[in-house]
Amino acid sequence: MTDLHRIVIVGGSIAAVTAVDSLRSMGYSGELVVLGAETGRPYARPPLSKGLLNGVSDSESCILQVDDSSADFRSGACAVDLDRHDSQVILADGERVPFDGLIVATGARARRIGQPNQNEKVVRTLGDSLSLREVMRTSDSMIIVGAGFLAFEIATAAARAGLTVTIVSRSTPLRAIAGPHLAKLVIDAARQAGVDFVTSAAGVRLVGHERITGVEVDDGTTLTADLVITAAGCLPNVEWLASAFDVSNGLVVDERMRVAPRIVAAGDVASWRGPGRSHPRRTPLWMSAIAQARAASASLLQLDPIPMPAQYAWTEVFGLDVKIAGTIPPRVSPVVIDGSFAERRALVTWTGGESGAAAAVNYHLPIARLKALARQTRETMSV
Amino acid sequence: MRVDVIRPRCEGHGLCEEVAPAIFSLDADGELIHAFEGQEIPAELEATARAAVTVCPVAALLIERSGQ
Repeated sequence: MTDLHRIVIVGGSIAAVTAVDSLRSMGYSGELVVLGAETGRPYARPPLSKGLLNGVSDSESCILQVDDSSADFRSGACAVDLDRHDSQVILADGERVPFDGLIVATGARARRIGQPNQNEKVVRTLGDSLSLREVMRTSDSMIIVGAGFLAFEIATAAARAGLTVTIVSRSTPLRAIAGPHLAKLVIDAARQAGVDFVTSAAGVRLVGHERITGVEVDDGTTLTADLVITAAGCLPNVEWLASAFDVSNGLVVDERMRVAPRIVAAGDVASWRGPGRSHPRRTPLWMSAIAQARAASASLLQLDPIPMPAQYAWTEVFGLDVKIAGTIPPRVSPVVIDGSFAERRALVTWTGGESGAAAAVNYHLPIARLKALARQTRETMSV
Repeated sequence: MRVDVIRPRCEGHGLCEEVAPAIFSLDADGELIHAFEGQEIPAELEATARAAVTVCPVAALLIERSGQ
């Protein structure tokens, strides 16, 4: 099928693990090396801000089930450079790992807003989540800087643990990703649970060094709390590729996840130019990482393209179980198919976005049907 | 190969149903139905079953190899 004898996967999370499974099930029988920068077993990130932080699941349930015989999994192997001329990945300790085919799956890291000498807290790794869960037990108040679902998931866990919670953001939270109607539903549920909202259009400044004690907002006042968490998105881990590729706008891949001959990428690191997209964009979501890893594996083995499924995301916030297929257009009103926002149980669709979108709020529906609904919305629109 | 469902962990996302509809489905109440519960997964479905195990974000599916 190909003349590849040694494929190296750089990364140790779901995209890397899925790539191993995919390559093997697609018939690749050559050498397979996985270089993960973190120590310990590969784990799933979705529970870190949901079940694990809430205390309803344990860290063992986050560990991914990896077939050790399928690849040489190396942890604590941090790639610092790529030598394209000699086809070698260079590790922090100077070791050179040669490859015939390369899958870049180095993921992303939390975006930080403070100074390097500030002990800023984020929720990105298993360690972050476990230590936050522990310190929440002895804290009374928390400020979360962020406007996305991660901020609301952390707030859900904190409110449940009895902390008073304030969410600070530049503009109305969730609007850009969920549209005003769904955003309002979630914000109202958070308010009812006692969460305060503060807007600081110019951003915030973290106060404190060894321990962040508060945030200064744009009217000059300082809000204080026992815990201050930054949930301001993520940045792709592309710096190690800077000598090999132009990564000033992230690592751009084509519609089949190809970077260059024999080099593909998948997961949070990859800026993808999907159908309907005007420019490449990262899709840092669990299901996207899985779909992209399959597509990247097929591309590397020069097999037929695997169709990319519609984008899918879910969140659990303040008693709302929200599942979203497609990308919600922020300035379009949703059409309620069943239920209602008022009863907090609704099946809704949007037209006018790049993909069509559908969401289920506290509404049981197989994901395939939710995706079909999003797809039909798009097709109706284009007629 | 056998796949066990750890029911207390299952949150009904249905990602397994999406990748392995021949093995997993959710009923109207969101309860997971496993077509081969307590049985060996047919050889031709093993790769699919493995994919379903990986895709579960709450590790509610567990691979048990025969003879273990």
